[in-house]
Amino acid sequence: MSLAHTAQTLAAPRPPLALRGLTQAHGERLLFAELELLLQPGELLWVQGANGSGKTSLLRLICGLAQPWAGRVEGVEHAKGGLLYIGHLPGLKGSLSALENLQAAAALEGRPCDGAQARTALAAWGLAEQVDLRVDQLSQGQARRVALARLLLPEPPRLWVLDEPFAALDEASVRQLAQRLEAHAELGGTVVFTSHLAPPLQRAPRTLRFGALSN
Amino acid sequence: MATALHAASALARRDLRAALRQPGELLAPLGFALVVVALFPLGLAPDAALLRQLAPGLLWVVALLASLLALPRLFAADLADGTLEQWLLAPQPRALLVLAKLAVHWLLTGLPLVLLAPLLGLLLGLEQVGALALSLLLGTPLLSLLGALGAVLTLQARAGTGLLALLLLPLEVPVLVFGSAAAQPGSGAAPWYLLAALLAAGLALTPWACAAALSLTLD
Repeated sequence: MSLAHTAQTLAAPRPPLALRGLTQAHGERLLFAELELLLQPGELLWVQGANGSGKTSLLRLICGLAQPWAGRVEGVEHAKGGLLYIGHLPGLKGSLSALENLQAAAALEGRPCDGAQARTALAAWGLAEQVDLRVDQLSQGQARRVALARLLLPEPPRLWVLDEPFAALDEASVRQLAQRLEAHAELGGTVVFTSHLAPPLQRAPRTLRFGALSN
Repeated sequence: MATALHAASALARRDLRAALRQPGELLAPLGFALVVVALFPLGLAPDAALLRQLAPGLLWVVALLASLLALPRLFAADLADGTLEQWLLAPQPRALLVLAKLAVHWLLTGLPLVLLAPLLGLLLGLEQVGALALSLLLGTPLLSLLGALGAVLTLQARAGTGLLALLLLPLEVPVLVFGSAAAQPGSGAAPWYLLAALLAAGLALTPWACAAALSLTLD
């Protein structure tokens, strides 16, 4: 994994992520209204809220997987491969191995990933022994780590949008993920994530509870 | 463009691998076709001349119904495991990715029917099995293309399979009419041209329509 190359990729000038008057509803229920947020490169945003409060809906709006009732999202460079989204579902084919899944995901994202790079990324998550195992033979936590291995591949997209990335991870993996998120931010990347538990980050992230923005 | 083609090829290879590791789903349409064809002589009459006369039309109806069996999972499997969002967000032309998925779908469900068609034709006493196979070679990709559009539109629907059949069967009538006409002994060139024209139009338009419909369906 070339950290220098990653730093070079992330160092180019880029627009902030901006939510302008974003309003979304689920059926008749208003999830959030007139949401305004400017997230500069290098910032982490922790989206908090109870189940069903609209956290995932917000992430899907940022990614462009859903259209808002009102308002808009600016600064997401879809066409340039500037977005990496890992949703609540890991996005893995159960009948394929961890390695096959990771390489397919990288190819779709237009990122270079040969076998050695994919194995290194999986090994970094403690999956060296499971590289060639089918994903449906892995535990939930291991499958989650296979999905998260995308974060360690070369040329990472600038904006990471992660839905409950800490879910199902053991303590060591939670710490490792937190470090990874901070490292990405330090290199100029932007991270938006949801989590029910406080992540062990060294610096406090910006937090967004629906209706209240702090830090 | 090279990156887009590499991504489409990776998606196709992934789908191919995943499907080949679950062969039960692939065999269902073929098994269905074989069983239904075996039932025709019992249900109609053990009259060889009648069966031979009806064979092209019957086999086309069987192919059409068999193609429906594999459609509901075309995008639903990706929706269920989260890979649909992954490839929809990929910085690649969506229509190209849809086309890659449909190519694999046809390879796994349409092509086996084409290859099985001569045997099915012989079971019903058909002599010109080549024309039948060729008409299916032109027609089954169209069934996959139209089927994909139906599969997208019913992706989030309850009772999606029934709805899919209701939606698709009327759309597929021209394919059935021209396909079975082309497979008839002594058919002229017209049904072949029409089938080829429909396929060209389907190839040009359906991937774009599916890509657009997928965005709306997920919203």
